[in-house]
Amino acid sequence: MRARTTRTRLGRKLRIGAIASILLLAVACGDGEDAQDDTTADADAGDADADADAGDADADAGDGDATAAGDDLFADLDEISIVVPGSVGGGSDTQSRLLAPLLSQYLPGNPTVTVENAPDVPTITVVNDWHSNAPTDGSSVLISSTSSVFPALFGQEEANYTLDSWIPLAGVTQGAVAYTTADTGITDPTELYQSDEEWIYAGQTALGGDTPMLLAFEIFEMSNAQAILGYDGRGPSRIALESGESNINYDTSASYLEHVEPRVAEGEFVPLFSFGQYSGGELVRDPLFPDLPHIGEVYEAAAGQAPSGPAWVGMEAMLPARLGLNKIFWVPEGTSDEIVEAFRQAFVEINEDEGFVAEKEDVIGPYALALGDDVVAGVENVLRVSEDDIQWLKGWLKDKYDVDV
Amino acid sequence: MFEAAVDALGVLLQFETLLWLLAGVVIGVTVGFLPGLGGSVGLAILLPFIFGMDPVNGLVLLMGITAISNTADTFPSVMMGVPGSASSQATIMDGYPMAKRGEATTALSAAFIASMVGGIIGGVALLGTIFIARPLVLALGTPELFMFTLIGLSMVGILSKGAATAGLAAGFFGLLIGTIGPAPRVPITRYDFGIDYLILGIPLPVLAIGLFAIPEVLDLLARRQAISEVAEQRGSRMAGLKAVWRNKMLVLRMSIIGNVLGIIPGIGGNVIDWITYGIARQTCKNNENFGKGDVRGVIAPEAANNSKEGGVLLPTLLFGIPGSGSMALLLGGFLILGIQVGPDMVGRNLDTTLLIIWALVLANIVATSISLGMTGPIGKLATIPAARLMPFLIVVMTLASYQSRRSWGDVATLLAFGALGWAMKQIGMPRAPLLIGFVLATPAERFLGISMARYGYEWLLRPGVVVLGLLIVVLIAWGTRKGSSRLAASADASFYEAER
Repeated sequence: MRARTTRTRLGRKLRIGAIASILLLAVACGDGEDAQDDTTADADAGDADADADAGDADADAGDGDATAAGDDLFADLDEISIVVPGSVGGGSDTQSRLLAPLLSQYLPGNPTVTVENAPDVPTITVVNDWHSNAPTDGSSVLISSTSSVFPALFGQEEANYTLDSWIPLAGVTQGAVAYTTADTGITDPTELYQSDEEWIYAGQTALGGDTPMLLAFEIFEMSNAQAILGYDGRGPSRIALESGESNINYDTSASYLEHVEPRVAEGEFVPLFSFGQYSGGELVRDPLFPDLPHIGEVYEAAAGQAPSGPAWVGMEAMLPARLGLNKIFWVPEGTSDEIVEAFRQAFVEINEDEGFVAEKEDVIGPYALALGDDVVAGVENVLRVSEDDIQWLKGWLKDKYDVDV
Repeated sequence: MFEAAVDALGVLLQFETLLWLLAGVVIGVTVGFLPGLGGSVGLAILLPFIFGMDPVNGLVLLMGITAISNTADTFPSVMMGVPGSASSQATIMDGYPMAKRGEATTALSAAFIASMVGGIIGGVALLGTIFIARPLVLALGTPELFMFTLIGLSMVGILSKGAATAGLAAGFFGLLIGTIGPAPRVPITRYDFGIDYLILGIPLPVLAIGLFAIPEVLDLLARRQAISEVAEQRGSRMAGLKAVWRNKMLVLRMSIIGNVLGIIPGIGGNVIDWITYGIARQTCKNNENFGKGDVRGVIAPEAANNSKEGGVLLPTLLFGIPGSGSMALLLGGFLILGIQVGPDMVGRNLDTTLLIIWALVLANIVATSISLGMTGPIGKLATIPAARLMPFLIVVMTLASYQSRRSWGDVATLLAFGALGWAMKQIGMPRAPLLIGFVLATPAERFLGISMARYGYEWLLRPGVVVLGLLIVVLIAWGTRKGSSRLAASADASFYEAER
């Protein structure tokens, strides 16, 4: 009898606890129509705090920053979501989380801006969904990266979208530098040209961030260059280089500056070339690395003529998508001009915000945001890939790396 | 170096800093408690707030959240035999049988105390391992990483004693299921059968809950019992403490092993507790009770999985390579705080590293203390009749699975593996090997593929590979010599008692 009483009491407590927990869950998870992100509920409360947070970059700015005209542009929206087709903590995610409170601050009417992830859902699925269903009232902004852009450029059948219908708001530029270890004995990048040394590169996959590097091997006619694919990212690739498993590598600018450049001075690493940036339709030196020749220059110095040929054209086609505008913020087709303008203006102001300028280097990277006309021009660069270029690239990927696109 | 460590501790032990640490732990507990959310979400939510925070405070906040996520999932492991997240998997082997015997509280408290001690030892060990970490990682090529996954896979054999064929079959099946989804080295997906849900493979939490929890729930309901088969609760926190004290050398050994293994990038925290469980089982005397509720089977993996956190931190700090999702977020947090990771972390920025280590140790102590405090009430859950507890648990588990991808596929997968797990339990096929095979499929394939592509067959002759290979042989053979015949005789092929 006694045991039973204890159990009943406990059972009752448990029932209450269970009901309470379920209610709590329902509240936490059942926010709005498409409760896609648990962080939404908390982030809403949080965003209001973020502006007021002591020590936060926003402390200086006041509401006066918002454009006076059109304050009600976003008034009907509960919130604006930045849709990130990637996992929490990844590059797109961290950048979006940095920008969300700033957008909220600089958009007219200070709407709430949150970040919506879809971890564990394939990128293409997320983008397909956004392409078909995103509302045109400015409440849904997509951040794209190479994994969203390449499938569209290559016309992969799983991608139901093309980029030419979307409207770009701002972009994040990226750069890259190729380098090797001092052990290889190479002192001048022109030595790469027609080199028959055994070059080994540790990369992730043939179609993706590594593609420009793989194309570089073709451009330089390095007959004995081998790409070992399957490494789990840039980090393991760098470890492979340091442990001798590979002997040539590249890093994006921020990583290069952080991990490689200090050791160049110590003689451990040898920079070879940068992949450059596009300015006015021409490939020029990367402004972050003014002393480093870009890949076209190295080729020209080695071969005595400007680079040409399908590999070169293919690489030029890939560069804007891979580097020039590595991440792009978009709104869907049909969004009104005023909303687009409001976003673009907000980004301009963010770019000048002191706090942003101070913090961004760590997260966005060392380049300025691509804004307004620049981002439109940049997108045109991305899209000017011709059908022939794509066909050549597909054929090359199939022949050399057995990748079906 | 010693003064630097003391200095760093001094920085940590300031009131405001400690408050931030506590805040981190509390947030971690709150978020971790809600099913399906888990530690990484807590970190993600906090990321925007860290901008502009004082780096020290921001750092301890991050460490506070990271520390707790590893600790709280011991509860489902012991109470239900459900491998919570990556860290508390092997604990189910002996923790759950103990709960059934009415010793849930002992198991839980032994687990937490071992975790606490393991975490402290791991933290202290870090002070030494940070210096060997870089050379160690650089000395390990991909072939050696493959050998480590093989060590993990050999656990399948060790854990299948007495049911070798069944265990191996389960292990191979796990490997097969692990291939569903994106291939590690080429941009294709395998075995998705045109179903969207399978494009990314099977999510581990759903598989684990389905495979281990559902069969238990069904059995308990069928038998109309409580988790504890004994009405009297014989466990106590003191008993747990005494158990840890009695086995202090085991704790020490496992902590060091866990810490060192954590440093190796690629094998992932997932397998470390299985490996340490297997090693403990092979090397402990009188180990015939392992798998039936030997408290050492709880202490060993728990000590290791907290100390491994320190180890796993090292590739993140030294190379900027996150070993797991939470590490990736942590890295993001570091970026935001302006902390540069890289070789300088043992050079110019050693003081930051030391602070991180101390914060981890301290957060670990706080987290395990909180958990210890909760063992009383939660331990009593074991006495609740199944008919009352199970419906609640089923709802919670289903919701937790649904959080995986927020798709009906989650629920379908849960049911499918639930059915499979139940069937395996009935015929006495061990399920742990399936889990291990599943977890190791992708890294094993990745590393083997890279090794072959890079070295041809020559990688087999590398000294590191040979040494690790011999280690595997030794580990397996050792167990075979020691009283395995007794094991084979008494084994009923399933690793949870399965006295039906």
